Amino acid sequence: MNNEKFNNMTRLATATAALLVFVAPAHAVDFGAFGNIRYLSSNQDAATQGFMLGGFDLYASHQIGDKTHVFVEYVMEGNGNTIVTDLERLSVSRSFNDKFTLAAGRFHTPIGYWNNIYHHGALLQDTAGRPNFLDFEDGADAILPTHTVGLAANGKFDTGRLQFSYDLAVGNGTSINTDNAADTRELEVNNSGDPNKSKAIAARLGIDSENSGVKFGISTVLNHIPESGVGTLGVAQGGTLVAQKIFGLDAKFEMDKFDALAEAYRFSNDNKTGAAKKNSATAYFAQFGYRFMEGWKVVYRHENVSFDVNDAYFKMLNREEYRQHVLTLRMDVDDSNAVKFEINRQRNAVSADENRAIVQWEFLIP
Amino acid sequence: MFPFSKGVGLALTLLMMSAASGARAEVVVIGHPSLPVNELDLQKVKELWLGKIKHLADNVPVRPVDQIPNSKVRDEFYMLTLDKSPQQVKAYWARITFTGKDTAPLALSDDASVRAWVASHPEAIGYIGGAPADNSVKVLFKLK
Repeated sequence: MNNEKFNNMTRLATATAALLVFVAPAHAVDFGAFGNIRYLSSNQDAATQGFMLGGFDLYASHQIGDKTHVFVEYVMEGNGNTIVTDLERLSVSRSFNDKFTLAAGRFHTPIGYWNNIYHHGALLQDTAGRPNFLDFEDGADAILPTHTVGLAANGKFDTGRLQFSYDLAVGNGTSINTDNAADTRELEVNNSGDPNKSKAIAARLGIDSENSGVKFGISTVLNHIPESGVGTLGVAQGGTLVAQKIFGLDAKFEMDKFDALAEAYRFSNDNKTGAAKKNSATAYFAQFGYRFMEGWKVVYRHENVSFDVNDAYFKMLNREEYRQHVLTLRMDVDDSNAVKFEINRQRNAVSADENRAIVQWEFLIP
Repeated sequence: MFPFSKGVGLALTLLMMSAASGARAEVVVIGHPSLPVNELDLQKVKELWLGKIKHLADNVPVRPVDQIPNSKVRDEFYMLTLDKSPQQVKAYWARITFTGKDTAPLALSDDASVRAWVASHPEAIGYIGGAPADNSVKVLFKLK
């Protein structure tokens, strides 16, 4: 075991032990894990095909007294021939009442429905993977800040017919290190400090009508994305690369055997590098599912990302416009494991189209 | 020779004992005496123990408590209310807990612990096997 793996395992063991120390007699720590194994076949290089270990997601949840809650989530996932361990979520929260809970730590940015409901456990979602543009920050297609390190507040208001919810977050915001080669750059979550003094703000307002099976949400993220490296694009370390505003709409509908989920985002990027131009971009997906018999569900999803090729934000991250069709057949073996058979076709604006077939076996250890 | 009457009596006693051990105990949902609700229906019981509602009518807050896994009363409760096996219940709460937004009900060791907890916490509701022995708690719903 190399030093990095040893250190990661030591940190995981220390965090777990720390949680156990605070166990009150009547409140046990809830542990659980999600995982998946997949087989991927594509028209891409042979090196990216074959059997793959998906993520192994270990979480712990502990209720301290009546109102305080601690949550931690570690993910171990393959990266080539190495296993990378990431601390995905770590938070402590205090619930004062249903209308106000305050939390601190690292959590999912309150943007959209998918990012708040589906985490790293593939079993929870209906398709093998997330919509590409909702990829986590270290993923190849990430364009949205899916995690925030900072403070959060959330609450619910129930009027009887409608339930309103709010999620607010203020935190370090994402940054980009342009010293890295373009094809390795990612949105940095900034777990240990902020390259600039400006804080990112995210908010989502949800409106649910349980009786009609409809849920709506509107969200926004405001962030001045700083340069975290020395800088290669004329912006000094800590300076703003992009003053970004993201607005999103999400809608979910469920009735009997049918469900639908759609999200749409509009980016307003005020780029401070390159042509220093203001650009707008859009990203959306629409997904439909139908449970045609007990334990079987068919799902279709369409995704689309469009932006100006001169938008420096997307150029910095080496992203390209794409459209994708995803067709999945989900078989629930039981409540704790499922198998998904999926084909997807991705049409890229620049690089070659990608066709993939995936068989993924997912499980939950409750 | 073994007296016939004693033999019949013994056989009847053994028969009754075996019948009693196989009989299903009644499971009842209990609440604190001061809870401003005197009865629940099955739908409310389901929603409360699935974490779907945290309040009853007139915004009365309630906090359900559970019994520990492998408790026969717990298994009976979930089979009668949700028609779910212990594994299914565990999987349900694992998914909810994973969102980070809610946790499973507090789990107590047995009927006596549930009774004591509910009697000392005005917002608490729980379930026990059989009717309560005293008025420290009140019965809100009976499951058979």
